[in-house]
Amino acid sequence: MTTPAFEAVPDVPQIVEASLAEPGAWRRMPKKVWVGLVIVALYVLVALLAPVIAPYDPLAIDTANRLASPDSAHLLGTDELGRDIFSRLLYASRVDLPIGFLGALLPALVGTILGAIAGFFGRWVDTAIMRTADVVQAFPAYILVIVLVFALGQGSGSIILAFTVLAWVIYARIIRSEVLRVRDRDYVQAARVAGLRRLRILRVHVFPNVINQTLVYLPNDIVFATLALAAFSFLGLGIPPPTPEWGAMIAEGQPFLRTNWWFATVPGLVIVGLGLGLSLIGEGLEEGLRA
Amino acid sequence: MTKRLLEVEDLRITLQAGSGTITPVDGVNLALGRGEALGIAGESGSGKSLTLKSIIGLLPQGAQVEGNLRFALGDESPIPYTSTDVHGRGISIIFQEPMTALNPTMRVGDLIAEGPRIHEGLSKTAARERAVELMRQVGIPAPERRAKMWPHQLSGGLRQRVMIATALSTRPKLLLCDEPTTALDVSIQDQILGLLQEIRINLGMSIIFVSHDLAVLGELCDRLAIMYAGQIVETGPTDDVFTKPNHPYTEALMTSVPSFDATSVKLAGIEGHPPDPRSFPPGCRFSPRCRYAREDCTEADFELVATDADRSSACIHTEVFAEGGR
Repeated sequence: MTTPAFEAVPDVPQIVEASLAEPGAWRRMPKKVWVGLVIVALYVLVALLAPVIAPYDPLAIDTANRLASPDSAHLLGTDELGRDIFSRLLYASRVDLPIGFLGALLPALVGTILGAIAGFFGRWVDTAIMRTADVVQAFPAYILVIVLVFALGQGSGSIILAFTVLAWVIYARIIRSEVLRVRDRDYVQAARVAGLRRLRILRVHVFPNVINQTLVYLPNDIVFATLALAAFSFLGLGIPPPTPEWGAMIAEGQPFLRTNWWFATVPGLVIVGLGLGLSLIGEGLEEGLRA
Repeated sequence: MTKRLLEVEDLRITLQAGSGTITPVDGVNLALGRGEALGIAGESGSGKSLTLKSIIGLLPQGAQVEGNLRFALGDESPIPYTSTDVHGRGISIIFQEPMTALNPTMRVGDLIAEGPRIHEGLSKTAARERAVELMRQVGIPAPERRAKMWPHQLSGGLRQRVMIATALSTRPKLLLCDEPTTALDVSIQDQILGLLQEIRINLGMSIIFVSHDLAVLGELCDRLAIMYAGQIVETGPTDDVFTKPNHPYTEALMTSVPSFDATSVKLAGIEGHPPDPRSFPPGCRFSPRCRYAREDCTEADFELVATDADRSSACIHTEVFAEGGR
């Protein structure tokens, strides 16, 4: 009966439009969120306590004791310069975690804000932001990061910046489509009728109702950023030596896979563990917020 | 007649639909007095909701509006306005669906307090007190406790009351109602209608109430405007329109509503479907479905003609009704 052309068909109402702002929202979260949080918390704890736990200086070279096998003195053996692998693993978390987290948080922040502005204000603002996003996305991602890191010089700052330039696009797209969904909701229209300023409507009535999508995607993106950092270090574009970094350690251990398999494998497992924890959080949040 | 509050003159709304344009509201005239309650009745797609939303500038993007809207913000007679002139003062609106009309991430007390805080510069505590007072005014029991609740913790009826409280928080002179009772149980419907009537009398507010439900309109409204295919086909005082319709479409609407007392009148649907806005029939748009249609009906220009001092009809054969054709 209703012709969609001139009488808006209401959205299929979601069963619960959950928000983390609501009381009890955290209690509804599935267990995997908590498992993931515990895993990630352990990593953070290790990073914070690395100087206390680590038995050796991660940079201390001991050429007499190169490529040692694991024993009571060196839990995971030593690398080709005789540095303690266990200590280097612990210290590497102080490099990988901040870059992984910041390399995802900054793009999330930039992308969420730009996406919300694009979706809410529409017209030329939307065009400008989303065409810029198209341009960024048209480049092959890794090439763009490599170019940026070359241009800005190696180091954690340039890597985080390169990730931000690249990854905001995804957040902008996610949030823009969410804002488009919410923008014509009755409560947003009611806020307009109440004479609220547009920025306030965006901040109070639109933003809290779309931010969940960012939260769901963020943990997955931290995994991506950590893996990307490892990949770049593996290629020699990441954190310059001798600073310990998981990806670089995998690269250093690769030639010795036949004799000292743990050298490259353990850093790999450490990355997998972090990825697992973050994925559990992301997946659990998604389930919990959709439930 | 009482002093005018709102005038809508020759309102025409065009929308892009696919390749062409449609005109779902085509030449609507309305006048509303202070304190008056006007009902707009019509089927889905008759343009009644769009007409209502155009009064407050809530049309979908890309909609083109022609015609004149005039509203009296003060005590003078109505003057042309833009929607920003009346947002937050003068005109408020309540919607059909209480599920989606409240921000799910705001406590209802904060939601109601938002308008007073911004427009009246009230402090946080003063605005909260005003919100509780408004909630009491719209009949929400235990308002202090409920002000701290989230929308999903309230029933549909309570949510609708919260919406009304929010609409009243900016002290409007005109409340637009877009089928606010349609999604509610019949018993709750009655309560909400009673509440609107009470508010209207206590605050001297005007109401425009849009609905497809004639019984609902009959309870609340002084006057009715019947819309069909983007045009108003009949207006008049509610009782007169109910007892003696002046347009075949109104009559058809009446007989398609079940009633408890009139057992003699057979319940009848209206033959056919509402016309497609991409190709309205020529002449009288109701003529293809009209049981009184004559040959000249498809040639007649649309014109809403006064049939009485306070009634008008667009039917060119009103004599059929005058002779008791019903």
